[in-house]
Amino acid sequence: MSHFIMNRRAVLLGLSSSLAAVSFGGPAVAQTGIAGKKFVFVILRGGMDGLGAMIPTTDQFYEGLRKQYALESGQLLPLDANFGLNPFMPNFHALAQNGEALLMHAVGAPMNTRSHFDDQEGLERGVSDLGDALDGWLNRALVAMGAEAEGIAVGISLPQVLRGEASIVQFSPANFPDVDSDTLNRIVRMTANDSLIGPPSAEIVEDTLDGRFDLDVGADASDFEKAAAILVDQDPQLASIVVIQVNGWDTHTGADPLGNFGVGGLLGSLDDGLQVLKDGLGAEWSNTAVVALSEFGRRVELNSSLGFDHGTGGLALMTGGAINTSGGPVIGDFPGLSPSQLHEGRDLAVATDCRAIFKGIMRDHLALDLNVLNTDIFPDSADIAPLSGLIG
Amino acid sequence: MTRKASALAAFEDPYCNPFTQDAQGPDAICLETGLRLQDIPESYARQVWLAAGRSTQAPQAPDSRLDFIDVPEPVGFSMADYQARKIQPVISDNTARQRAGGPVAADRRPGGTGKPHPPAGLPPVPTGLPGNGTVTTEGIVATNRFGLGALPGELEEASGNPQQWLKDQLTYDAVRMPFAMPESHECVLLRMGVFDDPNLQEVVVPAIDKLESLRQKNRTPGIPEIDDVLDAQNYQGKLFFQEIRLRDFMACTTRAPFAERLVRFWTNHFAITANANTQTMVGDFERTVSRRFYLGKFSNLIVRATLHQGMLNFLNNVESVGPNSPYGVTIGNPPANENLAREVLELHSLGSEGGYTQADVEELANALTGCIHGFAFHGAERVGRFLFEPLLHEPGERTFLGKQYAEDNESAGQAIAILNDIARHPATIARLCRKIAAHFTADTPPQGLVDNLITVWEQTDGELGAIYKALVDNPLSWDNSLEKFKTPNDLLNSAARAVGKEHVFGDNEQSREYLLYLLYLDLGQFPFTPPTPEGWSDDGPDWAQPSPMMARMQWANQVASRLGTIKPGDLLNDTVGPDISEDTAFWTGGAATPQQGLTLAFMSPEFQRR
Repeated sequence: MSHFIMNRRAVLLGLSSSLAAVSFGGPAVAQTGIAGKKFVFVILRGGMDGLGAMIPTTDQFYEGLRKQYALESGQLLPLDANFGLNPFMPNFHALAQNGEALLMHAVGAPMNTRSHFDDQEGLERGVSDLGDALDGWLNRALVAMGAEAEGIAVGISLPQVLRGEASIVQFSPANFPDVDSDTLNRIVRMTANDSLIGPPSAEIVEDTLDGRFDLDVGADASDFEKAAAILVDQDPQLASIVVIQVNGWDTHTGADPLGNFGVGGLLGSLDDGLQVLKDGLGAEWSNTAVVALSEFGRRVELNSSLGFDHGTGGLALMTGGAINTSGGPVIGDFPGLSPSQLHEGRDLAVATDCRAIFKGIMRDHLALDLNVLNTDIFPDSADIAPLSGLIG
Repeated sequence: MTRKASALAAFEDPYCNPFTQDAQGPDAICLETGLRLQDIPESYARQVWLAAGRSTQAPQAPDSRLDFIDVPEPVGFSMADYQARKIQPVISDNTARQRAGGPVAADRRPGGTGKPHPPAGLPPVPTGLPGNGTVTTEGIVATNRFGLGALPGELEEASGNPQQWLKDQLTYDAVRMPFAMPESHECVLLRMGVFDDPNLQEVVVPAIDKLESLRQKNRTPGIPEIDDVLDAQNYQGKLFFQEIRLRDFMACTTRAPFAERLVRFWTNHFAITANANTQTMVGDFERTVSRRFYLGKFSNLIVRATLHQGMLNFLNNVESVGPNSPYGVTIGNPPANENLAREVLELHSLGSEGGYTQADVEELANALTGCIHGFAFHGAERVGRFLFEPLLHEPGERTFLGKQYAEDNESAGQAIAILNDIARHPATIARLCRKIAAHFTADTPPQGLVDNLITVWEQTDGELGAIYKALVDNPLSWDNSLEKFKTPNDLLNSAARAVGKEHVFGDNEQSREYLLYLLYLDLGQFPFTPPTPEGWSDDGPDWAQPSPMMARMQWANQVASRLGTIKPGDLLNDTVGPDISEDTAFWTGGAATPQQGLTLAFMSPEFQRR
């Protein structure tokens, strides 16, 4: 496999002319370039309710659409004149206050179909047409970086974004993972009409509230702890790409932004996880860039079962010592929530393609060549310019 | 009539010929193991050929499959031996010796010698069969209710002629394991450890060598197994996990899942719990009793099961002494141990409502006295083998359910004669027919089906193959109501057959093999360890409880995470067919992630039931 990587790298060197020579010029360049750099991608599977996390306090349509789940400014952690943060995220708020975090609304995956499967595939393969590439874009990035970088997956499954030719180091939990509350709730609903299986499944929900069973609500802090430990132990000559997956964001019901078992609990678990990551990295935090993102955001208007259905534009969270926050903490355009501004009359529109964020970080943090980014890593994406100034 | 001949006479059964006999030369290669006869140690040769279903010559004994009741001449035992031993098993394991500071057996593990390879004749794992593209409801029922869950393509294969597909599976070859294993006698020797008795070393050491050799032959290349990581001297543990592994392999790959399910049904009916003594016997029970006698007359099966060394040990018959036996009179005439007799009547045959009395239990217990397996002091060749010991047998006639049985102090004939009558008792027939019908159709089976099976049983004198065929031929067996809830073993096997054994039973990481061990415990059905002599229940409410359901969810979640991008709809379509409920279609189709979709598919009522 490494043999293949070297061959492919040689091809890339030839294709990408003099810029490539700077990026891939050899060990001496690498040591002063990307050695020790760390990129952590946190995939928030299911579609995070961005508007439940970062609230547009000055948008006049917000309260009417979110109904009883609209939050008031007084309940929020202040970010800037127009936005406040969900109170379940005090750690992330502190990072933002300290100039170590960015928040960006209206970010979209390469495809916007409101399908979990398709949009996650697009997000992870880095393509807007699923016929284009079968492997993950971070794996292609690792192929391009050759022996200078290592890919690491934390969790029970190898995510699509890391699948491909480059070998990945995978760290699985030492025991059976707990089922997340979202999956449990779906099993209970699916089996509700089964007289044999339904009752004991429903009883589990009650028992979890009594603490008899452990459920995995949102992010598992041990994954973030594990990732930090791996990165601290990493060969300082290597750059590292780590992927952590957090399930449970598909809040069609129970989307209470202040609920322990709703969006609030999910955000709180993510907030804890990111803090655990920072604490565990210690001095290495300064070499680290973190992006947390879902395949899509959620519909703006509350549905009839106290949830939010699949939407389009979502919220990107960025943090890490390598992130440049001079323009923050809130960056990017916010298209607004008026009927005419909403995508197809219902969703927050997309103002930024996520590939712009990734390209900016890959170029400025991991020294990947823009031509390689435009063709190999994100095929046919030359028209999506990298977002500058995220790193530094 | 000699003692041996009289015992054999009870086993005459024209239907019971499990192994074909092909005449071949001494250089013949065993297709299953790749070994040549002349390379196989003499004591081992017959087992290999039996396992392979082939023989180079006519069997020496009248019928070599009757070995385990081949009664040795009772010479050389002294009363002093029994009195010194108090008929207590002399077995002690190395672990106990280590803790007691005693001598420790040498590490005989081969030091990484030779590359592992699978037996040459492993059945191929189907990778998709050509079908005519038609899947019928009856085909779905055949694969899931009667079988072990669909292999890829099996729905189509079974849909052509579901009844015939099932009936064609009913052969002895269909359940023959394509692996050589130590003989039952050697399995028990593995329990003994090297230092138990200096006189046994010459037989224990070769048994250990054979176990290690077969362990290497039977494994899958490149995949560490849980028995690889056991303590070097834990031979019985290694044997036990090998038994489980090979059994799992059979369930996950067999093309005769109906026959395999029947084998497991009988192993569970004659339940033996693996404990410190029986751990080396339970696998042998399934291989030498359930697999060889799942067809043929039930009377044959119940005699074999009752007199298997595992059953004799588990239900304490090896410690039972006739009060007026030669040995019993020297120790104050204690009553015989009734455990085996009571469970034979209550669990294996008549049932607690079967009309027998305490006196009948005592008489059967008395008849069974003397039926033991050999211990170390009986000599190396008798260890772990069935043995009738006249010194322990209660003399005199027996009166059981009003019938007289003649005195026999020289063989197990008295017990065998009573068991043969028990097997034909109307209460036994009614209870067994109901249990078979309930296992396949519903916790409360249709009475018309039960009555049909009873009629066939009476007409054929308990010919099991005819009863299975009647079950298949009866329309009452075929409604697709998914009445039965899968036991954990059913669930694991059906998932493994659908998506591949490696995803369900661990892959190339030792930790996952260990997790498999935990999973069996969490799901509540560790192989060969039913909690009571009654065996595992297959009634749904006994399994559909919150804790085991939670374990199923965690299991489903774990397996789903290993499966990449299999679509939940495809999984269901290939296993339980296209006809799924609206709830299942809605929730599996609308899952938030591919992994969640698969978790939901595994947890759907369609997949959890059969």
